[in-house]
Amino acid sequence: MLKGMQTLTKDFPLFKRQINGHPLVYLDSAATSQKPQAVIDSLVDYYQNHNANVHRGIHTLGDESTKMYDSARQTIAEFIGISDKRELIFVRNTTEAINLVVYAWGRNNIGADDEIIVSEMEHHSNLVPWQELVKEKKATLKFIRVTNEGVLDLDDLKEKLSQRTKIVSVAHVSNFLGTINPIAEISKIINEQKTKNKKQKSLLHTPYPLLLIDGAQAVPHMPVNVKDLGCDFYAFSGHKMYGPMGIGCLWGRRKILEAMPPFLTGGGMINTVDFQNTIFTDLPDKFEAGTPDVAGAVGLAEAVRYLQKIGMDKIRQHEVELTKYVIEKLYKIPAFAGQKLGLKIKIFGPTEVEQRGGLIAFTVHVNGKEVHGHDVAQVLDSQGIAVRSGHHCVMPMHDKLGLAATTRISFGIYNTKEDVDRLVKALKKIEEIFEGMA
Amino acid sequence: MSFYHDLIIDHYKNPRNFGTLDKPDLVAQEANASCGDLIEFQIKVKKTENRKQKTMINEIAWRGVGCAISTAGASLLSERIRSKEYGVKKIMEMTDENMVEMLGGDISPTRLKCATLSLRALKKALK
Repeated sequence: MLKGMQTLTKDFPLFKRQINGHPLVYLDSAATSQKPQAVIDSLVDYYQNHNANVHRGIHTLGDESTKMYDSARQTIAEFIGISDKRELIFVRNTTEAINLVVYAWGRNNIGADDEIIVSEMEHHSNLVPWQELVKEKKATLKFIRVTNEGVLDLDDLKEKLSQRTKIVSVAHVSNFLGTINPIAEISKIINEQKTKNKKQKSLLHTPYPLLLIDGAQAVPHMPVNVKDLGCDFYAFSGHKMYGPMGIGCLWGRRKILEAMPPFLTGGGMINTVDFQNTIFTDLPDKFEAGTPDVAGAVGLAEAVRYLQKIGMDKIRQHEVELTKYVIEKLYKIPAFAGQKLGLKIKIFGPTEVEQRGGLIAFTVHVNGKEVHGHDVAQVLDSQGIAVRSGHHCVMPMHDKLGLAATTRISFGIYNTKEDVDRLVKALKKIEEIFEGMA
Repeated sequence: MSFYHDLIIDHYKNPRNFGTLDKPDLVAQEANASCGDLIEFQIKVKKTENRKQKTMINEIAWRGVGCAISTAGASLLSERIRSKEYGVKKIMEMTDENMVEMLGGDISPTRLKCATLSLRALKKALK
């Protein structure tokens, strides 16, 4: 275990709880992370001492609140390598961030002959909005193939890219396979297509294809610099990175965002309004209609400061170590190795730990019969261990692998090797309950 | 470990009335897409011989894939239907709570849709 990481559990008050008579082992941070006391305190402090609407009231509290909101935006922008904080739009979550792009950009830029490319491993949030858009516009949705090793087939991407491709949208880290996708490489391939398009002059000065990255499973777990990645949009959620639920971010290149019409309209995003017409305000307010979640933004900035104090490199290293450890342990469940009888675990996703984020989906088999993920999760819960089971909002990829459901464990900064040991021990209970099934 | 008590595990391991019928009158499937669970009921009906001519279940079978709770639920439900003279009307009046009771009463809210899948499939067949 990395020095200093053992003690982080104490920063998270929820770990004082007992679950079904056991101390909690929380292995579901990919669904949502627990919140450190500092983040909880920042929410209470905001509402107790500073609460007022932003950019409106000319009074002390209004000023304080506005300053806190702006400063939160600055903190989060710097955290992911953005120099111009106006490019960072506050939304509710990753799903809303992607929908913002689909509605405000997609509806105005996608036509009947256009193509959109996503990958086969996408979360529904980066699939369903595009499906709806292509149906409406009679456009085409294509998929980057996922190989048997659980990585993206980049040759397949090259083949599918064409002058018709308007946008490519992929996950930075898969929430099911755990794969870390090579975004910089994908961006390079896309740039080659942009150059080709320019040469053919068929699309004068085309900025296409654009690249959107779903960073929900990346930002909490590794250093992310959106400028280095070479993408045009980057979406992520606050609640998976130790911040509050209900706040997330969309980053976009300023020129693209400026050319886009608003997503939602109403208060807070206008310059002038008369009875017939409205002139919209500038970034980022143009995309933040209505009273924003100021406390959420303040809380998320506090989460960012908490992560910065630990260091993202160190967090990544911690999760690599835990992932290595759990894979080793799962492959080596004692006394059953090499036998068909007994407990068996099948792991999905890349075999190289360096290619994976800190999450692992697997199926459990007892005497050759698969135990349903929900049953696995329930038996683990009875021993105080929280995991996710089901299709994790990635149904198409489960279908492709012939799976109905899997069990997923995912790490946060508070997890330890002892947590893994307890998981492995608890998995053996499944064998006790379900043995004797033919 | 009260959740996976003997009754549930017994019905999961040895599901009753599992299979298909020859020329069933009614067939319906119901799925919990989010779990990947799928249950199909096959039913043969008959009319009562008294003047009321009530529609009764004559034979019942089911098949499908699912977790321990949905499998045991379907098994227990089919057994209940077979063991008593159940009219269609009475089945249509069965509630989610009846399913939870049948499964021993200890079903957590997140597993309720597993527990009630079979009842939904059966009602669909009888509609």
